[in-house]
Amino acid sequence: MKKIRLLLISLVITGLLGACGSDSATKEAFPTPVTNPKAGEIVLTTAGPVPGTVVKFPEDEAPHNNLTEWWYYTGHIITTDGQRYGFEYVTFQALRSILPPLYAAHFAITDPNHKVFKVEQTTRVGDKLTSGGSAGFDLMTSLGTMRGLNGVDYLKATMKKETGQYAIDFVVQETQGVALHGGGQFTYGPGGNSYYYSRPRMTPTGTITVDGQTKTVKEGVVWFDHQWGDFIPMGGGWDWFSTQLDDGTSLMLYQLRDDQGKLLQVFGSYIPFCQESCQSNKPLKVVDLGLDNIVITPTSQWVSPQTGTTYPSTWNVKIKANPQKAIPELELNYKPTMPNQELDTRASTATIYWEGDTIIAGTKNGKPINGSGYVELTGYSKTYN
Amino acid sequence: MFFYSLGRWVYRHKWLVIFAWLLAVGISLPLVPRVLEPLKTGGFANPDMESAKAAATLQANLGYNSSTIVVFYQSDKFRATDEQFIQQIETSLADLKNAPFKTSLRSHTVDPRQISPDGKTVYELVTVEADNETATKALPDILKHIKSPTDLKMTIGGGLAFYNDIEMVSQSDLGRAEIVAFPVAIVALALAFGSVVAGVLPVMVGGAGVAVILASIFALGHITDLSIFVVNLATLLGLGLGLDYSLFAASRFREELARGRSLEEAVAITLATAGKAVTFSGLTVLIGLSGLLIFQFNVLRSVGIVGILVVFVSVLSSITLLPAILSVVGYKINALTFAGLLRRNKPPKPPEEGFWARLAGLVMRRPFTIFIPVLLLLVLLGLPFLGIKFSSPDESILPISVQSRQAYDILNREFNRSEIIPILVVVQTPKNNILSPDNIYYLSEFAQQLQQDPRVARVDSIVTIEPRLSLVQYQILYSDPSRLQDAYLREFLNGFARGNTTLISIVSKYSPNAQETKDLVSKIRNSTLGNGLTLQVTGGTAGIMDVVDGIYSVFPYAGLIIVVSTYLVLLVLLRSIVLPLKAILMNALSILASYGMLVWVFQEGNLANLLNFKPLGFIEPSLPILMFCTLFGLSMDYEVFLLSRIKENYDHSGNNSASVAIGLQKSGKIITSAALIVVVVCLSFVTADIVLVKALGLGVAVAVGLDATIVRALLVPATMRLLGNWNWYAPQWLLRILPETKLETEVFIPPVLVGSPSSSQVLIPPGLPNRNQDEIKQGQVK
Repeated sequence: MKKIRLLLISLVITGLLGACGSDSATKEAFPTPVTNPKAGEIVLTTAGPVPGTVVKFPEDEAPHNNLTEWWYYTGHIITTDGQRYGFEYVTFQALRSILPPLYAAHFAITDPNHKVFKVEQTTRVGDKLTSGGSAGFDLMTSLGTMRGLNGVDYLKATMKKETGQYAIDFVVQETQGVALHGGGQFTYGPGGNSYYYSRPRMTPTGTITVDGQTKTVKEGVVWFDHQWGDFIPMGGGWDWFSTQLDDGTSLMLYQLRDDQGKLLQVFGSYIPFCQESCQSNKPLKVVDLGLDNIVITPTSQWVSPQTGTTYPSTWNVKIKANPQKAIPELELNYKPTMPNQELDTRASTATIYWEGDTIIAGTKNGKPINGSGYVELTGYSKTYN
Repeated sequence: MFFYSLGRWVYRHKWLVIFAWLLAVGISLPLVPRVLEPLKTGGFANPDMESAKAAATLQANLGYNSSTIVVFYQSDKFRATDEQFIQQIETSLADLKNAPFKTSLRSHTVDPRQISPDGKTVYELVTVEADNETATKALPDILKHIKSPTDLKMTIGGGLAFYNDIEMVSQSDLGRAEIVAFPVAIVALALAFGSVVAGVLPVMVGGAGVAVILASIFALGHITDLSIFVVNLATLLGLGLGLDYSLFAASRFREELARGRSLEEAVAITLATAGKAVTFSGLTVLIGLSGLLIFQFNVLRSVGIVGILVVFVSVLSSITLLPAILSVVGYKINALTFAGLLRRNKPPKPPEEGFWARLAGLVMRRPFTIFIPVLLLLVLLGLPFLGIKFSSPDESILPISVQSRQAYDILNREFNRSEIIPILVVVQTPKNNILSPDNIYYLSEFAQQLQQDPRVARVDSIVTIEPRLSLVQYQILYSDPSRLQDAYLREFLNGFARGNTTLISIVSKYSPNAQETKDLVSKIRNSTLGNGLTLQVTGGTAGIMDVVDGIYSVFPYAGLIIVVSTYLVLLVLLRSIVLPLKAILMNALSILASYGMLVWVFQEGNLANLLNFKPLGFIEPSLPILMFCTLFGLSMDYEVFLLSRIKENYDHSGNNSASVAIGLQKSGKIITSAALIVVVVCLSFVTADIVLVKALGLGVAVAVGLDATIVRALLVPATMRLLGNWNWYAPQWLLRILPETKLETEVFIPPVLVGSPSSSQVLIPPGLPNRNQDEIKQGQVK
């Protein structure tokens, strides 16, 4: 009996001690991933275009919920004193994860007569802007404002004092319509899909301040690009050409390269002059161009003294005629109004690129023709920060 | 005879001994205020744990830094996105660039998850580029560079602030406990002795011991890593044991003087009896605490090291300093007696008529009737222990008046706390190519499975950072990271992957302490990624789990060492195979009861208002271990004194029941006084602001209290009676090989027995059966 009592005490104590380890671990596990069917290689897949989607106005003027988006103005201005200036004013929106949107803005003025090229940049982490709707876009950064709806846009940008007294205060108005490149979508290949429309011809009014002098715009032409989509730079770059010929026709060329400089894709749009029935926010007639139509040949190089980057500097562009598609034969030579139009924007978008005011001379169907343009060259500098 | 000789030597060299101690105290005192300097604030992790290894990998391979200050800003006037709100924060943190260490900031303006749903509270994460220990020590200087905004309420929190506040609160706890403990102990001792002088002496000895102990901790802290928690424990245990041992010795000294011994003889006999008993008892405490040395956790190992130091110094002071002082004080020890003061003097009662003997007699007449309810009561008290939940200490152990605790409450109230305590999965590949397309494929597959788990709020990894990117895009982007153009991805990649290592950070929908989060960690740990990729999990939850697992996988061994060693010591002392086992079981019962109380109070929150704390909802895993080791030592202390007295009488009388009664009576006052002092000292730690210290103080106080009352007065006599002569059973062959070690109380026979008709005269309390000694022979139980 005594032994039983002893045993009873021992059992009670042992039981209580056993409670110490009550925090039992589960044996549950995540299934081991199935073996990679394409071990050792990357199976390249091209993103987009997204079938069935069309660009709508004015809804698609507003910001979108995509990885990358930009509103991009480049233009050529002649002021009342007869001086010619080029400008670039762009606002980027980057959405990453659930972080608040990052806005970056670049603003550049080219003064070819005085060989002056001024650049300003800024970034801002902002509240998410409302997508869609009919309010257009209203983008503010420390550089100024970029607002637009139905082809009437307001651009105001001022450089910091330490950069110089340069500013623009423009209203730019669409004179023809919108050009939907590739029907409004194109692909960067594995980099992702982009929606893309341009207003190739907008007329600026207002003032430009150059080296402290505010001048009134006499005439000019502005090109507006709006791109958005879940695309991201994949290590290569592109050469982009906007062309506004004196006969009212326009041309956009896009040439994509991989990180080894190999040509991946060439495409573009030929936009005939719209003489009649042109309405704001209505798609223009656009003729798509492809690799079989376009030959772009760099004819010289320029080495940046600031970054050491080598860029192509002048180009010969040939567009093969295609009467069925109403594509004229074009041979155009692009020459920057000054070579040094490099933008070191590592502080805002972590890139160095070249984007410059360019004059164009050549032939269209064998007849001489001139024009203005902007050329953008990315991916030549491998210095990222 | 060593202790007897030591006593004579101390008497003859009393001034030398006192001078040596004065010198030691003199050297120690300037170091006492600096004791915290070399001590480590952490200590709840073990470098061999998976979570610790993974954390080390993260720091070494990815530069991951957990030295963060979380600065909360609140406003009823502005919203987090208002310009004024943002500007005030920027102004508040602007001077951080001049801080003694480089800092980096993650602002709520770039991470909306740092804004509360109502938009009125934000937190900013300031990472200090220094290891945790260095950053914690530098925190006060860093905080000088954070200004309090005019219109926002600022609260500083995070790991560094937590550790810094622990140090600050520990110091104030210690001071307060000492202020409470010393006077109360003096009063308790004076009451126990009935003499002010006799009462003050143990406090002097205990105080001198504590000073030397704290200075030794300061020195030891420069040699080995010691946790900051040892300071409170050393004071608690040092005072408790120091007073305890001094009490035994001083008490015996007075007895010997009362018997008419010369001063030198009284000192020598005191050491030969009480001194030896104290040393024996100290040995059992030391065995208990040495069980902690096998733990890799610094906090436990530290307590083991310091515990041994405490026992050593306490024993040393009570066998050197105390007898030296007694030699000087001599007959004046009885000065300022209460009897004298109150003009009242009662003649002592014979042992068999004392309170404890009568109580024992009462219990032993109905042993089973007492045993069952008492056993059930102790088991009932221990029952809440079945629902114990372990977790690591966080800011909830601090009082709500402390800023880091307030910050913790804000975080819990306004945010998902797991956001700043995510599960961190460190994935490594045997080759130096974590970003290879194949590895990206397997990481992506694994991450997708993680994202689908219902417990997962978010997965941050190099393959999930941007849900709009595809596997192929990730593979291309990472195939040559040097050409990665996207600034955000590049920065993220830099922090999350390098060489052969990448980090997957998982935010649970549940709190870091929740079972759901623990299950998720286990599930991840049970998983394999394929392609030779290995994973290790760290972060708050994994750390908690590893600490609990680590402690409780070693605890049985530590417990076994303690129990077996104690059993062997008692076996040698008591020369019975049953009594040591019974003593261990009695101890276990009182410890379990105090465990139950620990859960009932500190986990479940009962008596929270009375004790002035906010319920933890869990028990810190090292607490039961600390309590077990401390209590096993302390309780065994009383068992040694009690059972040696019982055995002394049994050896003379051969009467089990009578010996229990007399033993209980003879040790009653001493044990009661000693236990009372330990309880008082421990309860003084209940005033501590750190809940962990409060819990330890209360836990030990309750266990000692139970042990000295219910267990000693009811359970021991009942079980002694129930077991009868089995108590003294030991096989003859064992007795032959056991060394003859007797406490010399048995050699120095008290005069009351010297003058008796027979030295084997049996003292039998009224009402107890008297067995003939011939019936009872060791090893021949009928």
